[in-house]
Formats: sequence, structure tokens, C-alpha cells
Amino acid sequence: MSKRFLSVLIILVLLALVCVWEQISVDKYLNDIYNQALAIENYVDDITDVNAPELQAMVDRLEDSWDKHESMLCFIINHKDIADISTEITRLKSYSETNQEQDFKATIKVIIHYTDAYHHVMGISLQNLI
Amino acid sequence: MLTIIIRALVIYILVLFVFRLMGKRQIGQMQPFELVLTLIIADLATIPMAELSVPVLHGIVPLLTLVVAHYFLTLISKSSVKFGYFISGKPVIVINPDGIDEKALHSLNITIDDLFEAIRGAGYFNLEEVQYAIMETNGTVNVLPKADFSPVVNKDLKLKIEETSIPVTLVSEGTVMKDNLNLAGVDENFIKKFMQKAGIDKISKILVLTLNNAGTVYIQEKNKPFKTFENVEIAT
Repeated sequence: MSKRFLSVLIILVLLALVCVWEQISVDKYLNDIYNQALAIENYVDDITDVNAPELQAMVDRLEDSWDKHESMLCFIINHKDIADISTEITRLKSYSETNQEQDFKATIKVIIHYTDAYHHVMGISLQNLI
Repeated sequence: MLTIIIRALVIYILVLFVFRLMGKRQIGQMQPFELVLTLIIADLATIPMAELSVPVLHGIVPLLTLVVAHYFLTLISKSSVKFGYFISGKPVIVINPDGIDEKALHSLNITIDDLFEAIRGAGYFNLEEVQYAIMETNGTVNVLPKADFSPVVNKDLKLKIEETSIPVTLVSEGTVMKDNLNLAGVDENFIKKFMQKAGIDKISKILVLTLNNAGTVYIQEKNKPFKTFENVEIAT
């Protein structure tokens, strides 16, 4: 087995590992944020007071989760895209504290859209290939 | 700014590694698919280097993917002549004993001027000197001259010349090449002996010291003229 062949083999294995790791990370982290955002959206559908302590706790959990996942997602997602989600989560927290219902609902929809869209962009699909 | 420096270094090392894996061909010797690969690599490498929002992995993964693709393309080209012709093309005879093959020039999309330039590059200025000219797949033109214009070689003159070998570099810019010492069958005492003869007191002052199989030592001190010693005995 030549050195070159061995190097190519190692690269192939590394590429495969990176692909699997990327898929798992994107699935795990973005799905987590997506599900939490969806839960918040469902919760605010029935209420008008977005300053409720339970909702604030949900937003805090969302922010904590995002802070944890952000550094890992930086390896695979464009940093500008990640910054978009960070900005929206910060806004969400502010809207909750100031009880701005309409802005809160709009922002949570944006977060859901971003996480869903990035999930699709990062995954393999015919649309991404063409 | 530190991030840019570190990213640039990472990408630079990676691109160096990629080109080492590709082999030692120079731009002019590249097959078409190798040239394409080189251009893409150059472009890919600059994106994560200059654009901080792009993860470095977005530059590394395509680079490594291209290395793997290139390796397998080369491997298949080697094992299948047809595939090799498909990827790299075939060498084409552009000048034969009847003269310039116009059809061949047309198929290669080159002009008479391009052909003249290539032939001049091969050292022939008159078409009547050329028996055959072949356009290789990497774009170079190799010329087989007519017998009357072939350079005379020792064999033609029936001269017996002793074979010479490539001189082995024993010291390069003050560094002893230990592998080459073994290859030449000498040790560091050999170097010291010729340092004394040349009036050099430290190995670090030697610019180059070579030895060939005819027993000629070439030694040059930094910023000084060279000296040679003929018929040196090499104890093996």
C-alpha cells in the first residue's frame, strides 16, 4: 500500500466522519432549537401576555440551549446565519420582558423559519444539489 | 486579524499538502484535468481565508474531496487507456514527413503561428529540419528531427566516454546531508578533510560540498569562490 493511497484513504475516512458528524450535529442542535421554538409558538397561541413567568422561563431555556449549541454550529454553518438566530433570540427575550405580543409572535416565527431553513440547507437534498 | 493569520496558515499548509499529494508536475506539464483542479483549489483556498464568516471546514472539505477525486481519476486513467484518452486526450502528430497536418492543427484548435512557436521552443527554426512533431496531452510539442539535422552524439563518433553519475551533495548551506553521506560511502571525517584542504574552519561556513563517482569534490565556502579536488579516494 503506497503512502499516497494511505493518505487518500485517511482523507476519505475523515470526510465520511465529517459528513456524519455534520448531519448528526445539525439534526440534534437545530432540531432542539426548532422544537423549543415550536413549543413557545404553541404556548403563545393561546395567551396574550407574553410576559408570563412560564413563557420567560421557556425563552431562557431556548437562549441557554442556543448558547450551548452555537459554538459547535460555528464549525459547519456560515457565521452570519448563526448570528441571525442569535439576534432573533435576543429580540425575543426583549419582547417578552416588555410584553410586546405581536413582535414576540413574529420573532418566534422567524426563529422557526431560520432553524427549519438551515436544517434543509445543510442536509442533502435534490434542491441543494442543483 | 489574528484569526485571518491563523486561517491563512491552516489553509496554506493544507494546500501545500494537497499539491504534494498531487505529485511534482509543474504548470506546463499538467494534464487538462490537473490544471482545472489547480484553478479550483486556488479559488477554494481564498474563500475561508479572507471571509471570516465562512467556516474553515467549508474550505477544507471541498479541497480534500478534490484530492480524493483527483487520486481516483488518475488511478483509473492509469489502468484504462481509453479513460485516460477521454480525460487527458491523445498525443497528436502535427508534423509528419509530408509536412504540417492541417486537420490535426484544426482539431487541436491551434494556429500555424502557435505551432512555429512551439517548434522554435524545441530548438528547431526551420520546418525542413523536422521529421515529426507531436503535440503531447499537456500541450508541449516534442520534435523528432530529420537524420541530417540530428545532433551528433558520442556514439556517432564512436567515442568511449566513461559514465558519470549525479554528484551527491554532502553539505548544503552548512547542513550535513547524512543520508547522502551513506549513499556516497563516506563519513563526516571526509568532509572535515576537505574543509581543511579548502581552508574552511566550520561546516556552517560551507555553501555546498559535492562528490561524484569520478572522485571529484566540489567545495565552496559562503561568499567565496569554489575549489575542486580531482581523483579523490573514497574508502568504501
